[in-house]
Amino acid sequence: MTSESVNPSPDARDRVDAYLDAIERVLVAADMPRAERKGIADDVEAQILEMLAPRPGADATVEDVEAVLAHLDPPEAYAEAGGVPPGPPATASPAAPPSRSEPTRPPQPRSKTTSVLLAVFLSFWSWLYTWRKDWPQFVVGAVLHCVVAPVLFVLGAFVELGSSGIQATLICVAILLQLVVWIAAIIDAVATPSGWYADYPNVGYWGWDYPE
Amino acid sequence: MRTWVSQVRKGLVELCVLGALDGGEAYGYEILQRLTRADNLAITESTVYPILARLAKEGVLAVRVSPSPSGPPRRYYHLTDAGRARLGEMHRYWRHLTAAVDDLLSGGKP
Repeated sequence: MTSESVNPSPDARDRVDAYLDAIERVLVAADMPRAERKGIADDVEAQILEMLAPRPGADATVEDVEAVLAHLDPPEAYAEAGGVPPGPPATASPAAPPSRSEPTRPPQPRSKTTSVLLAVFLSFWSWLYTWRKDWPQFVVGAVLHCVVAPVLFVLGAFVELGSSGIQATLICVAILLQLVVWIAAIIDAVATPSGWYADYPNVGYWGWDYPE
Repeated sequence: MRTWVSQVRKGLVELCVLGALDGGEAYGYEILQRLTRADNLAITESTVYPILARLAKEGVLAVRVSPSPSGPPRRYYHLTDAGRARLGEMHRYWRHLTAAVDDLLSGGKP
C-alpha cells in the first residue's frame, strides 16, 4: 500500500463527492440503514483516494479522479447489494427500480468554464448547454428576452400612448429586462458549484434517456 | 451459463470475504485486493463494501477506525468470535457441498 498523501483540487473533490452522493442516493432508495451507508461511503472514499495517491503531481485533478472512477462500478451497481442479504436466486429481491430523480447512467459532466463563457457572450442561450437541469431558467429567460422585452420596446417606440414619459419608461424597462436576463445567466453560471456540472445527468428531466 | 456463474459467485461472496479476513484484519480496499487476486471470482467493490457493512452490523465483523496516510480514516475489519464460528460453519458446508457435487459429477466413481 502507498504511504503518500493525496490532495484533490476543489473541482476534483467535488467530483468525488458527486460520485459518493450518487451511491448514497442509490443506497437510500434501497432502504439501507444510515450506519451501513456511511460505512460503505467511507470505504469507497478511502479506495478512491488511495487509488489517486500514486499519481504524480501536487494535486489530483478532475481528470485523475475521472480515470479512477472509470475503474469503479457505477453507483447503480450498489442497488443490488443495498439492504438485500444474499440468498437463493428464487427468493432474492429484485434491484430497486431507478426513481425519476435517479440517473440510470453515469453522469455526463459539463464544463463550468464553457457555461460561464456561453453566458457572457450569449446570455440566456447558455442554459441550453445545461438544458437537462436548466430548462426552467431557459424558458423564463427566453420569454422575457424574446417576447416581453420586445413587446415593451415596440409599445414604447412605435405606439402613441399619449405621454412621452410612459413611452420612454417602457423602452427603458425593455432594455433593463434584457440586461437583467443576461446578468442572471452569468451569475447563475458563476455561482453554480463545479460538482453540479460534474454530476450533470445523462438522462432527461423526466427520465427520458438520451443517446450515449 | 452467465446467469448461473453470476449466482454462484454471489452466493460465495460472504464466504470469500470472511475467508479473506481469516489471516488478519484489513481495511476495505485491502480486502477487495485480496479477493481480486483470486481468478474467476470477479468480485468488485459494489459487492464487497455492502457485505462488509452488513456483516459488521450483524456482529460477525468488528470495525476499528484508524488514520490513513492517503486520505480519510480507514475502517479496519476483523473477525469476531461469532465471525470465526460462521466462517467455520460455512467452510465445513462448502467442503461437504463441493465433495458431494464432485462425487455426483464423477458418476460415483472414486
